[in-house]
Amino acid sequence: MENELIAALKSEDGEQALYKILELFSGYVCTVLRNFSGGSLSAEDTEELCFDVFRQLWFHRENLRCDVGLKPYLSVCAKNAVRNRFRSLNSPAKDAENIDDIEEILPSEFSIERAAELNEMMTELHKAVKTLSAEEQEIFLRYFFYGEKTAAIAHALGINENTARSKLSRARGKLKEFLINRGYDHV
Amino acid sequence: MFDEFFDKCALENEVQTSSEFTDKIKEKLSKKLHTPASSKEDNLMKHINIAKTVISAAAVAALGAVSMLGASADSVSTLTYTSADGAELGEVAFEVSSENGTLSEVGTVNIDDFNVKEVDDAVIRYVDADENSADDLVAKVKELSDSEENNNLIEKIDVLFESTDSEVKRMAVTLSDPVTISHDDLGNLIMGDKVIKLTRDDLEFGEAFDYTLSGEDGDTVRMVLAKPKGIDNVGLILSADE
Repeated sequence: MENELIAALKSEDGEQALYKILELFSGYVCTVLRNFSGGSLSAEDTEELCFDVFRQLWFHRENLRCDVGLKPYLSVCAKNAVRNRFRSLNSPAKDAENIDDIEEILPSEFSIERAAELNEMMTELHKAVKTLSAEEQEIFLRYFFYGEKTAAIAHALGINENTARSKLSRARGKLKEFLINRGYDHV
Repeated sequence: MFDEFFDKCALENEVQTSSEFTDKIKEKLSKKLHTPASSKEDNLMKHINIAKTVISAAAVAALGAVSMLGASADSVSTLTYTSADGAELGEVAFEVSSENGTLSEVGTVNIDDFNVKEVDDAVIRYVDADENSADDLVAKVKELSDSEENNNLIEKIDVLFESTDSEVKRMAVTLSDPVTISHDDLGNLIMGDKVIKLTRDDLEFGEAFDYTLSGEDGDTVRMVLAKPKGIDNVGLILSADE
């Protein structure tokens, strides 16, 4: 469905597709904004950043690749929006654990504005994630794309937080190694 | 691509947005999508980063705005000016000599390189007097800013720095309401009603260098390149402490 929405977004009827995406994914975007900000955004800030995420999606729609899907793009936009907001206010997020860690895998230079690099990176990241076990994949996905903290991930999976943390650490180590071997020397 | 993973991983606590919330965003998006790109709002947005660059630099040293650090001894450093959307507006090359510690401009920006058609492109700090006089450039910017198309976007233009032989001029552009960007005596940026305070800890410093002003006086001042952490497209040239 997401690839069809991206195709529709690029079509003549793109505006309607954007509103459809907004209806379907505003909850996801607000969740990612909440998680990455450590829940410290006001309602007004959430609304403003959410608007900014969908605005970016619209203005860079030509660069979106259908096979990547919408959630990865929306997640990257939301993460960058939170980081920029806190930086502009000169105040760190209450809990910037995820943003700082994710910078290791997907630095802020990778943004929707630089779609070619982002798309290439997403392709490699996808390959890398496939090398993980099913549980590691879920932990990584929740952490990386949803911005969930390790405590929340542990609760969702019914495992000890320390276990979740060590599994995440192992998964990140594998991904870093995979990406470094493919020439991503920033990680 | 990632669908297969997302499908297996539904969030239990996903935020449920109300129709009122999505309607509000939709209304804002609709307004944005149906506003011509040359409108005042878009121009304002594009100007914010450029104006930040100009004014923040002016706040502390009134010498030049840079968007890239990297000047080091015995090297030619290129300072690239970029607009809010990342497009390069032009570049100026500086040569730093370790022998006498001076910084000299080895290249100049030609106004023709910038294809000045909109106010956005007219925020140029350097001009080669041999080919395009700085006065002409100021006049051109004023003419552009006064046009109906630009909705009198620019309130005023200040010449911030003028060398004694008029080789180099730099302008600050003050935007008309509702967004006003200015600075206070401490060099803090003021954008609208927000004050972005800049302290030493907020800045990443490059190497200090001596800058010799051109002209008969040829005063030399100790400067340092600095960039506020986390704020893109803003560079400062500060007076350096010993």
